[in-house]
Amino acid sequence: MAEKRKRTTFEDALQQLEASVRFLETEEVSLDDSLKHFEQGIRAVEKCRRHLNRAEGKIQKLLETPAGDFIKETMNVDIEDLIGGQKDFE
Amino acid sequence: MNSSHGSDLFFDPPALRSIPYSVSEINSGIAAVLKNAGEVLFVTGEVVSIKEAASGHVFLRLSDTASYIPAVIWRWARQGIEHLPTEGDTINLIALLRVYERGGYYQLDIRNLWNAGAGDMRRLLQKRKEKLEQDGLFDEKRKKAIPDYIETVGVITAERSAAFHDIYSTLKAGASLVNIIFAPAPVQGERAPEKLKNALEALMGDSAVDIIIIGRGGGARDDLMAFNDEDLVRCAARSTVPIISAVGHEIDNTLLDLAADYRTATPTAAAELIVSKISGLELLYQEYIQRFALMARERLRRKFQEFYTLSSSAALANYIKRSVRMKDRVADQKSRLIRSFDRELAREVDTLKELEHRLDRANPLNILKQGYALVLDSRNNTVTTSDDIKENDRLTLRFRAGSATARIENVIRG
Repeated sequence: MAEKRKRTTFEDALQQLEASVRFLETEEVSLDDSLKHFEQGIRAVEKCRRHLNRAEGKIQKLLETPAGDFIKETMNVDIEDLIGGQKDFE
Repeated sequence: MNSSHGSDLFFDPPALRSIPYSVSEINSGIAAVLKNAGEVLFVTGEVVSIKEAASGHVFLRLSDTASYIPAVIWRWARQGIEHLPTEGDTINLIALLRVYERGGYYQLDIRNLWNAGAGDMRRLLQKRKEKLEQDGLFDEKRKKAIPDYIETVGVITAERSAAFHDIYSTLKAGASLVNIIFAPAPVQGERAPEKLKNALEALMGDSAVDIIIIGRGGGARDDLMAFNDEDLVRCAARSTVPIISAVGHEIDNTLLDLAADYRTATPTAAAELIVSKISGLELLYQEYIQRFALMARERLRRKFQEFYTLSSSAALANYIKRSVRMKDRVADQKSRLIRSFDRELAREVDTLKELEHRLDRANPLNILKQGYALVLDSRNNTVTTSDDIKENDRLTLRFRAGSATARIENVIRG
């Protein structure tokens, strides 16, 4: 499933970052290994950042067509309008 | 007001009257008409809601499932009534039909009542609940966990509603970067169950959606019937996307609450749950970034120092003396290594700084700067509900700067 893959990828990247951090924090590591984990950590950070960038605070609305299909449109939320709107739990 | 022109109408038509009626005149006129409808009425109906006001008056809504009528037991009339009914009871009653003139509606003024057993609506719901339970729809083990990483939230509630406003503003305040897909649907009325189900199916089929909130603000029990619809409940149970039911109410659970993966008492609480999940993960990410940057600098600096120390040690000096060529090679390697390290380090540290900076700007955790705190349990899990803690638990409160430990004195279940 697509959404499942998406989730594990971010968590995988975060785990990679954690592993690199933990490795760098252990006392006896060789220079080679330090560098390897340094690079791995940077790659993990970039992966995480790519995911975070996909969440950009986009608001969309699904509109039902007369045929019963749904189309997505960008929704401009006017918070004043929402507050001024019905507050009677409809 | 009463026609004196031989008309059958109670109110005069505009042709016979140049001054408009006031609202009060209309209501008192209708009250006068209804008074003539019958002195004392014998009525049966199911109590769909009952509320005792501070004044001692009791307000009810009665139904025969097709239609509703408000009713009242005035404080002075209560003395003659042995037991007040509860929601779902069918009652027989003696009442007068009266207009509440200030509110402009009619109601039954109850003088006496008797319980006549469980109402149809309650029996129907109970039967449906048992059936769905037998089919395993409410099994805890079937329920999905709220994902830790949430990019997009699907929201189903009424358009232009307080519920959507609450969800939207809570998500925006706590996790401004989360995407929202809003599928509006009526939450009460005849078409509500079908429209809610269509919206739910549309969001379930959208691969971008990580979690769905479906709900409405508080209402009396009769207003929540759409959330007891069998098709809707079965549809929710089929979902591969986790669902939070957020139907605001105080007494009973709706069947959707029981089938959903998670239930909150209000739409705001559902949004808060999502915010806490996102904040928890973002905080972890932020922490790793900081530790990573620190350790990367520390490690590489220490390695340089080791290298310098080694290159000036007696053993190495002797070795170097033995071969000028070797010395040159080492020196050459050394400077190449340092150059490449310097370059690499400068570049990586720049990248990291830039990432830190961008993350900080985009960080939903800025909410901590507003005085909120993240609550962690002894295993460092985020605490989002009082169900997860008990008295005397030690919790860590995490502030924007620093943290504190706290001991629970008293738990109030949500």
